[in-house]
Amino acid sequence: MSRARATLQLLLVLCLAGESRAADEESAAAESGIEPLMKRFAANRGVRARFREARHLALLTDPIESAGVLYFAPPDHLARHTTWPGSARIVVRGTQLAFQDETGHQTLDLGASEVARHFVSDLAVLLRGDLPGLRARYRVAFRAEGQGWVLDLEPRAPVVRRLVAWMRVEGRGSVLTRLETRETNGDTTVLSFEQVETGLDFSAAERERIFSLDERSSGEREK
Amino acid sequence: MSDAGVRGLTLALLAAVAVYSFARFEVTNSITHFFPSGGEAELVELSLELVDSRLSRRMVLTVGQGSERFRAAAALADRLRSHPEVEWIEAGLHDDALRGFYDVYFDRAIYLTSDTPEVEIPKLFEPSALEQRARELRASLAGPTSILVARAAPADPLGLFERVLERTRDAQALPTAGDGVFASADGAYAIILVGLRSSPFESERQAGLLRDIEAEFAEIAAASGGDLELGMSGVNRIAVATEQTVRSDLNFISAVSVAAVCALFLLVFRSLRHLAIAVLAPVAGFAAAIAVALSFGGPVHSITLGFGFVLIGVAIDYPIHVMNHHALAPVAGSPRETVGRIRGSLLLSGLTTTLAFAALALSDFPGLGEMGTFAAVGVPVALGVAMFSVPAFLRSTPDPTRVQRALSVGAVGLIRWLEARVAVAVALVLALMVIAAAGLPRLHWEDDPGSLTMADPALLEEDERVRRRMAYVDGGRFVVALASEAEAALALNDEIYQRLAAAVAAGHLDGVHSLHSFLWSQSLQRANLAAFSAVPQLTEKIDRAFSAVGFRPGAFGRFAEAVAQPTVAPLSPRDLVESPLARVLDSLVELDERVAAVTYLRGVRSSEGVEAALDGLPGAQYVDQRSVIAAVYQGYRRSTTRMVALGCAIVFCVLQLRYRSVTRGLLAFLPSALVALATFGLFGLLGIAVNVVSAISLLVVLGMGVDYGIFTVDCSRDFERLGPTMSSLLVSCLTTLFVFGALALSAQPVLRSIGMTTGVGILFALALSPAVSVLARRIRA
Repeated sequence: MSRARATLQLLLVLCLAGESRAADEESAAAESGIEPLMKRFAANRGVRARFREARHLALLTDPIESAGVLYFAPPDHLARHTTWPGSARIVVRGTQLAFQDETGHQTLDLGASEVARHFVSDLAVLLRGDLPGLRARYRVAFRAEGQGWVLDLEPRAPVVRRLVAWMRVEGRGSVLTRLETRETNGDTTVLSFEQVETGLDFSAAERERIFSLDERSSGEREK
Repeated sequence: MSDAGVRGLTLALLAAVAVYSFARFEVTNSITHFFPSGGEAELVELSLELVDSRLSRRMVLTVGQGSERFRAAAALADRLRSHPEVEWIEAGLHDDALRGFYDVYFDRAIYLTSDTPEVEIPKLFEPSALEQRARELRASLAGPTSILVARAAPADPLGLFERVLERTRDAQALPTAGDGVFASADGAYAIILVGLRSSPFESERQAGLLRDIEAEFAEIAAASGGDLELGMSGVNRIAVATEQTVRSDLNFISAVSVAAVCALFLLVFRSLRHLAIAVLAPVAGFAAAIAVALSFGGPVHSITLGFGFVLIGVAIDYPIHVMNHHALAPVAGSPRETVGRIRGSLLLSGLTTTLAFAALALSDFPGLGEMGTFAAVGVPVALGVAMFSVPAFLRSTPDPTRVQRALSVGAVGLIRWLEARVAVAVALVLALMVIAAAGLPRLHWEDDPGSLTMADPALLEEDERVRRRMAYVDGGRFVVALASEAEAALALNDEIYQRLAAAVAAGHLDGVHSLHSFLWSQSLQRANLAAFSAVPQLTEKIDRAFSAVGFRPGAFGRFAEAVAQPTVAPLSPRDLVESPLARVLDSLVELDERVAAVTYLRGVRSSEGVEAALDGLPGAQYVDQRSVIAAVYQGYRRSTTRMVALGCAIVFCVLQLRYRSVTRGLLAFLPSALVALATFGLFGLLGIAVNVVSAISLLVVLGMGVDYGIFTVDCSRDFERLGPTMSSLLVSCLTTLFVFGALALSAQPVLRSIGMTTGVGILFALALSPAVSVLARRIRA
């Protein structure tokens, strides 16, 4: 547990570690077609998708891979339940964050840190179709590509820009298929989504099970 | 000078002194006033300095119960930040604080790794330890903080910064909750720490701050629905409440005293004019004493003010004697002629009382010394006014009231009745002796300094409750690392921390709150770096272990570079001054020519165990303030008792010189010495605990008792003076009782002790006076 706490504190601290000197220029990228896309996201309501993640880090010779299920319930509930290779759970509810893995469980209120709040709520902003929120955080470029679409996002917040160079979101219709994050140091993370279910209305029991900030036993996590 | 001139001069001087005193008036409640002044044990000196240090200039506020508690606490903190009496506010960890923390510690983690670097750091580089760390790091790279861990790891593959974070967070023990506000462990309360700009004992400033805090909170609570509760803890709160109690006590005592004394004067003199004349002397003495105290001693302690009322009780006797003797004079004459007839008794009374009080002025307690000076100035001034000014206010023609005549006749009748029954007089003396002999061995001395002042129990409970909601430490128990300069104090503090950690493990206490969690000595920090530098093949070892779990060789070159050529110097107090952690430096206190690093203790179960843990560490001192001060008070109580004995001896010698007769001198002395012993004897029999202030009050009994003895013995030579003298003593005694009786009703134990001791003593002295008179006349005959 103490290790998990320390890691989360580290997250907070390092979020603030740098200063960006890059200019915050307005993007002139095309955004045509983004409004209908975001409206479709807004109509999605709840989302459940299986994911596979591959992290290519300069520190490591091989990528780190994991898989699990991602849940979203508008407006700001997000849960990532990792099932492979180990079991882990991250839940975000507004400014509350809970993290649990084999080393322990910790909840944290991110209310004090605008930066940390920004970091954990970005995906929720996209999934709930909050176009003003997305534009406030990123310079947005949208383009259609074959049957699908591509959304290029460049962070606006200086401290985020110091860590993240850009994000690319790919999808088809109202379904997300891929999210790639390129960090400023060259590290890359690719999230691929499968079996995406949208338009879900989670029952109260489901919400309690999926988005609970409380510590869960390993049996509960397996459900 | 004409009577009118004397009256004008007296009133003008009195007005001038009163205006002067009013303009400079300042009152204090500091407990330090009752600490010994210098030349005493080092621990007391240290306690004294720490009480006035920044450590005591803190408050804790908690906001609880309501759902809006965190937002309300954040709003309250924002409003108080600009208050002139608030030096700093800490209400939570915000971006700036986190950034400051990172700046201070990240690059210095290699200096702050281990308390035992020579042992622990080589172990970090053992193959199994490195292998485990590599696996942990790899696992964290798979976690949600990967993006950040990946950036920290090249400079810190061993997780040294996390160790620092763990250590400091455990020491702070204040989690944050909604809006980033500090919260109690159970999250039920938001917590705000307030740094005070002024001493917590500056009650006027602190009262204003407390009022403002309550007013601001009331506004915020009303705006958020009103279901919020404010809790406060701080020395300032107790000090302000104590002063308010003392003030309200004094107001009450004044009202009761004035009413009772007015009634007495109306009854005896049928005139409030006589009361005004009688009060003139003690008021003049009181004003003069305050003026002197304010001119030379700074603020007057509230307890000294209470003692001023005692002075009124003593000094009002002189004008009462003058007025009563003048009214009942057997031969018509001017008031100045009356004063001339009793001049010897008045002067001797004034002299003995002043000498008795003068012993107090030599006390090593600043507070007691102030009382002694107060009385040693006030009594002669009051006597002077009684002899010089009071006659100018009296009518030339004696005009006794019926009550005065009746009292005089009654007193004479009582003496005659007793003269016929000397055995009764002797029995009375013997009874007091028996009370003294039986009670004194049972007398219980209360040396706990806390027994001298009493704060509102509800306030103390709230204080305790609030402190328990955060990292609770016992403010009265601490360990001090004393050295000639900061680095030496920090080095000693490092050693103390290790010893106390062992004591915690042994169960002698629950925990410590140490500066060591945030700042180490330069020597220990350099020893950490040296231990890293001494690791052979450091880069290769790391590469070998980390490569085995998938890290690229050479990925941690920055760490090896930092060890070889650090980019920052070891952490120093100066680095913390401008950081969000500046408050931790409050534990590093600069004393006179010394520096102290203070470690507070939590849940001490064995003081002996803590003391044993510090054995053999020169400069390390375990301080249990309560027992230290209790020991000091015990010493001073004994010293005060000796002073009382000395006062008795001085008074006895003066009486012997005056009367040049052992027997008569002894009889004049009897109402003071025997009464003092019998008073404490009675307390012993009744199980009433006495304290150092009771011992001081015995001096008052001595001073007033000897007055009774002197007047009684003096009138034994002149039967015509017997009636006026004994009736004067009765009026004086009642006046004093009304004043002291009200004082005994005070909520403050110290004032109560004064009132009870002097009240009982004066009653005994009055009861003994007729017997003394009879015995003196019998011996003379």
